[in-house]
Amino acid sequence: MSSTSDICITGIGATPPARRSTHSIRRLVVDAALAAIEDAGLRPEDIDGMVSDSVIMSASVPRDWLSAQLGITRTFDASLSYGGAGSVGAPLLARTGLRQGLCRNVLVYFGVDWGSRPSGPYGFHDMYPAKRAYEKPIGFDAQPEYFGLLAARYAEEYGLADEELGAFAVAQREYAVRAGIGQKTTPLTMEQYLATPMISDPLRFEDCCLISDGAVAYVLTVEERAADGPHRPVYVRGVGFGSEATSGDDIFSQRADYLSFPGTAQAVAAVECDASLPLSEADFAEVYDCFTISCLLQLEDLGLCDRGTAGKFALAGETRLDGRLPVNTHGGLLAHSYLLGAEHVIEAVRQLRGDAGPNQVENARVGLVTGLSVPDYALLMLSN
Amino acid sequence: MSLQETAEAPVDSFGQFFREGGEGTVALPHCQDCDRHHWYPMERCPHCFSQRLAWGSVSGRATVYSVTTVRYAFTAANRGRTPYGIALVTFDDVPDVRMVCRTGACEEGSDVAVGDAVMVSVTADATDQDTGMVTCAPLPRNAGSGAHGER
Repeated sequence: MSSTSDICITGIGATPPARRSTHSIRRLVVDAALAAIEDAGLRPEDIDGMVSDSVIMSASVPRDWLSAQLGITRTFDASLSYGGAGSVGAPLLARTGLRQGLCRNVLVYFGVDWGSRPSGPYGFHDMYPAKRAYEKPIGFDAQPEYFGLLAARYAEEYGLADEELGAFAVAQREYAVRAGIGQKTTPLTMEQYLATPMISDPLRFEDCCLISDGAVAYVLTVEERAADGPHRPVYVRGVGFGSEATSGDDIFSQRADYLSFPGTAQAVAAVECDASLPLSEADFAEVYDCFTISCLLQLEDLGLCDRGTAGKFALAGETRLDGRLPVNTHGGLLAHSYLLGAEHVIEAVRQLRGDAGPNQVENARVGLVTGLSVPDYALLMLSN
Repeated sequence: MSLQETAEAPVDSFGQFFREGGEGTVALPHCQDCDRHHWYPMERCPHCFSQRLAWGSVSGRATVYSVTTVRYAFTAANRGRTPYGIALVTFDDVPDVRMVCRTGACEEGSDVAVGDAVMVSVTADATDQDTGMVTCAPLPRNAGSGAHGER
């Protein structure tokens, strides 16, 4: 039995953001999953499909393990990419299971323990041979350096005032402080931003995302059943995934189009076709912001700003709540928590339910979420 | 374009890169069919997908494409060694190949800037020749440039 029903997000769950949690990543995922299932008005045994990222969860909190903890019998199981592109692109797979009648309710989950793990995020790229044998011994050994090089090249080609990067950090801190649910709870002024130490020029401490322990989960079902839940359903208007003929080894040095992320053009084409809406229709965007520069580059990759102008867009206040395109309305990876973008999906759902409190975007109808897991990329358009 | 060719050899690790490189000489995977170099080592040429790959040496003369000064030691190996520079360079002989190199730096920043002419040197690790160090150093603007002439 297959259908063309729309699918909806009916439940969301998240553990409180923390630099270091007293709980293990497995416990955090269980907590987030139970919260999402309850939020959807379901019991664990109602879940019969699961989707996670292919790399991080498959290794640390496998779907079979989670099923055993929750008493879930699965008739649909899938995984995609790693980290953010996996969490953001998951509805692409969930929709297949739901529309083909393979399952009734799909649980998507993601968690990370890079806050408490000794190697933090830096060990992750060891899976690439070039990183291990070549780049690490040279000292090209951490994400701020990869993105520092990108920012320096961007500055050479387009010009980049310090305040243009700072505008992203300051605006997102405003959201986080107002929301009061993230790791950062004290304001950040531009003066304070400029005074924080350089980490990898031109990236300062406050250009870099947080490090966190935590987990999030969300539940999807078809439109017909979504109305039974306790919350206003949030529709998956479109979802797109893209990746190109480049590997994790090559991505931070060899890409001919150095200042754009691979997979973005494919993901944009896919999501706009799927949603029958241009990205420019989004009322807000939750953009994968591992660094200020990554957010800036994506706004240009996605065509939301012309090349060379995203920094000025942020500096003019256009990413703030009263700007033309509110961006990362919970504070994002820079100020809320760093769950590799999974929490961006949760925030978009809050916005479209009208539950975003002091950061509620007025008349929010369509939200865009991006998942950057170089060289993979995913885009999700949600609506209410 | 390529100065020297070694016998056809598997291009699947970094050992040959570190053993064959030297001061101002860089060994790169080189496609026997389309005559183009690439980096990093791959099973197939990323340009024509041939598997007839060998190592070919090119001059270490290069131009800085981007550079960052690293001021925080992310790994134990770099503790006490900051600040240092990380440069992304393009080779004058093969401008579509970029290479990450270590370079000097002080509090004011790295000792090379975008657009600077540099010389890349490769040194194998004394105990493990499958790894090593790759550095680049600024070239005087009018330095002799061997067979390649002024650019």
